[in-house]
Amino acid sequence: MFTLIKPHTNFNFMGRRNLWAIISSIAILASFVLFFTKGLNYGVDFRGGIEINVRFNDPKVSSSEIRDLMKQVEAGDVQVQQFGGDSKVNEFLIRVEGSETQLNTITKSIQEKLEAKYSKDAYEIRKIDIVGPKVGKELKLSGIYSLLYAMIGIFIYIAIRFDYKFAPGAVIATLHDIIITVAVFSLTGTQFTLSTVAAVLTIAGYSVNDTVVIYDRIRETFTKQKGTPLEKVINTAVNETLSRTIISSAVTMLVVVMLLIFGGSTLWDFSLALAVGIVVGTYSSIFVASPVVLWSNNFMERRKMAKAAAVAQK
Amino acid sequence: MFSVRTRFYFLVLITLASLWVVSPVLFPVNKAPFWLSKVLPSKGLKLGLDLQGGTHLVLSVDVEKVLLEHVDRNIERITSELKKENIVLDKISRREGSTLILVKAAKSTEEDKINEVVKKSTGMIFVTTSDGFMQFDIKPEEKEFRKKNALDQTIEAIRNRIDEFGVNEPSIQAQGEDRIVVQLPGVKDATRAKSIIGRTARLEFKIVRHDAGLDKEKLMVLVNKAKESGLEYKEGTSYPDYMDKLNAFLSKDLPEGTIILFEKKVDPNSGKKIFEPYLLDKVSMVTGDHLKDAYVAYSQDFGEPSVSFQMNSIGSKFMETLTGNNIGKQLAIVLDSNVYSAPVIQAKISDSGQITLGRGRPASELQQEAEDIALVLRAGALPAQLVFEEERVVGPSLGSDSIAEGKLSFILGSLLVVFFMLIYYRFSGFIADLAVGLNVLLLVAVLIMFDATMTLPGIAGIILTVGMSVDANVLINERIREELRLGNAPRAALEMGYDRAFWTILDAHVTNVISGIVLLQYGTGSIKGFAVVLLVGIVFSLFTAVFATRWAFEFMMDKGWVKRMSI
Repeated sequence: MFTLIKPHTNFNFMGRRNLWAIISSIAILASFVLFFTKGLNYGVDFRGGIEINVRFNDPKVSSSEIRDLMKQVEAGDVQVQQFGGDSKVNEFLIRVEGSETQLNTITKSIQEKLEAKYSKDAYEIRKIDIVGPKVGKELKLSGIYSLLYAMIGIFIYIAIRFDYKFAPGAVIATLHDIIITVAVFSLTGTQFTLSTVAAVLTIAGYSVNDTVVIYDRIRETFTKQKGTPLEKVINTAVNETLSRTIISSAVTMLVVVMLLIFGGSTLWDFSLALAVGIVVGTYSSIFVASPVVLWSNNFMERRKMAKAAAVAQK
Repeated sequence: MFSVRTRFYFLVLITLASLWVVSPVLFPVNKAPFWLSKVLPSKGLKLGLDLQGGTHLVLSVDVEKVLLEHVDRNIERITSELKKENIVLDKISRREGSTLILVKAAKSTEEDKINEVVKKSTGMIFVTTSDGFMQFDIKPEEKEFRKKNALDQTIEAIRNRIDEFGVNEPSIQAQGEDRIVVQLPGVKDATRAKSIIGRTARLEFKIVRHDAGLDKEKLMVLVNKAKESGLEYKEGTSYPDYMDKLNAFLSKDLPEGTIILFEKKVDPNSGKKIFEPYLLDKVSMVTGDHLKDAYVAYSQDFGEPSVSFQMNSIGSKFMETLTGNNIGKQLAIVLDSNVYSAPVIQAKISDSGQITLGRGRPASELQQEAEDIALVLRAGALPAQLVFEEERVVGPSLGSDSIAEGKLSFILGSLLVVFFMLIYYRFSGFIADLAVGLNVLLLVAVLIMFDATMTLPGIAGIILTVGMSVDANVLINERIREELRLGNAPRAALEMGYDRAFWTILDAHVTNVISGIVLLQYGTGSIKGFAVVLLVGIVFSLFTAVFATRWAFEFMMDKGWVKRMSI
């Protein structure tokens, strides 16, 4: 039998819980610093504006050549960016900010400029995205709302299925994962698009999934070993599920890595979010979600005792 | 409950059935031998625009403006009804930007009678009186009805236009209160498609007025006055919006019930664009709603294209009244707030007319414009102006590249997972691999059966389903290993493993269902596709991991094929 983690392994995860808390807090703090200093590179979905993807069959066409051509377009700022391409073809991204009001006219003008300079077979317009400022704002809002409602739904489910002392841990761990994943997008400057939001929501689901598996085990061990301190129970549960946690994450990671390598540019941002989310999600279910159960349990017990003391005094 | 054997045969049956449904995706059915292609279905997986290429447009309809225009027509109706009753009004107008009509009676004793006339002729209800003005408003349910009607009419008109334009399997759907999503698979010329869809195509006939000595020069003075205060038309912005603003600005300088509209001309000498102003009746008595037909015609002398149209019987009657009463005056033919021509009415006209397009432009451009105008007139006008909120065009090569890349990474990823499971869990890993395969098979079969559209995020959804499915199998296998370690017999370990893992797997799946439902509710477009795949995938993941593998194991153990767990 192949085993990754030997049975009866017993790492003392809970003993160092303050250390994990410090590590996570620093990571979250750093994430916020990133948001406020570097910010996010919003894609056309949220920013509004124009994004045109052109592919030339001639690798000699340079981005400065396209940039010069785009100077003739009457718009505030037309950005040209090269991406992908090999010895045969060459791809460019032409971007116009969403603050422009006449997006349709500008798009038409960009197409006319390309038509005038290059022959029809020399290039191909692979993709055009035009998003009005109104829609951009709406898409942003709907993204935030869907995240919010998903979190509330998960909180309620866990509070009902488990115990209310479990719910905060799952939500905190999930928020932790979402914040750090988004921070990686800020750090690498990868475009934040509509499909990134889907990926972030997937991560939320994944992270809760991981956490729920451990929580289930905590509950089971707790009823099996009545009287054992919760800290020990949690340790046992985390250790017993450790091999499952690692195997599942590793297997999912295999698929995501394939997506990153072979998925092409269109799936890149989605896969990146998933990859980061899986790593952080696995970490958080062990090092964040589980200690929080202990803390919220201790907190509630202290309040119960204080209440009892108050009643006794009367 | 069913016996172990029945369950196993059920598994085999649904596997074969879904293989049958999915066969068009697995290999080209039409190239199969004759007897096989007769038996196999031909319906494949429907691809989204991001995979097959095409144009995706989100348009918004100005439904509020439709209401305001309705109120303006009501004011005309009220005025003429009151005239019949010999009731004199001090003032009647619509409050700017609202559906309220403000009426001031000359004699306050007549207010009750006015109230009655308004109610009878327009159905509007009395709200309140303030500062001596009676206020009337449209009933809330009528507002809703008119808004919905405007949206439905727009969708109908767009559908007619696209049908005339000729697109395979277009999709035109309402989104919310005032949005329309148009999907045109395979259409590359988005600019042309947009100009055909976006043209309001409102044809109106208006009598040219010469009140208060307002001739062209004097009108130009007024227009220039507006220009000096910053009201000027900018290329690329909405022309009807500009006309609305200009007329609102000049409303005090113009006689009651009139507006200014321009005829766009090209000066033959300088080649410069000139806007020639006309003073016209604000309300049109005859509109393009009563058209029978429209087609491209060519002038006899130069063969220049123009658009000819014919009115239906109701339209002809309206036209007869209008032209009969105004012989000797000019009749402006207005399309989308542009005056195309203003011939002098020589005699009563009833059923046909012509829109000339002006000279001095390239022949091909004129030809295309004439064709487009004739098409949209035939297909019907839009009740309100459209705004293009979002546009996404995907070229065909990008789509096929995405499919190829998605397929490659999916196959490679799956192979890695299959090998890993085989090595780590041996025979149980093999069963788990079969379960994951069945999961994907069932998922794709259901997507085909329900005509769901596969998009790029949908592919990602399938990959995620694989991840979840593997996870469920890992959970079960780890649990069985634990039970075996505790010294349980294979059959007992199997059953306890499944029973214990079940609730964990269910909890994990339910939390994913929650995020899936939220995505379905609040997500847009392709994200919805992802959510659908995710939700269907979750259900089958639960079924294949928790039930299908267990049934398979139990069947094999009962048969004596499996005596000890290879895990």
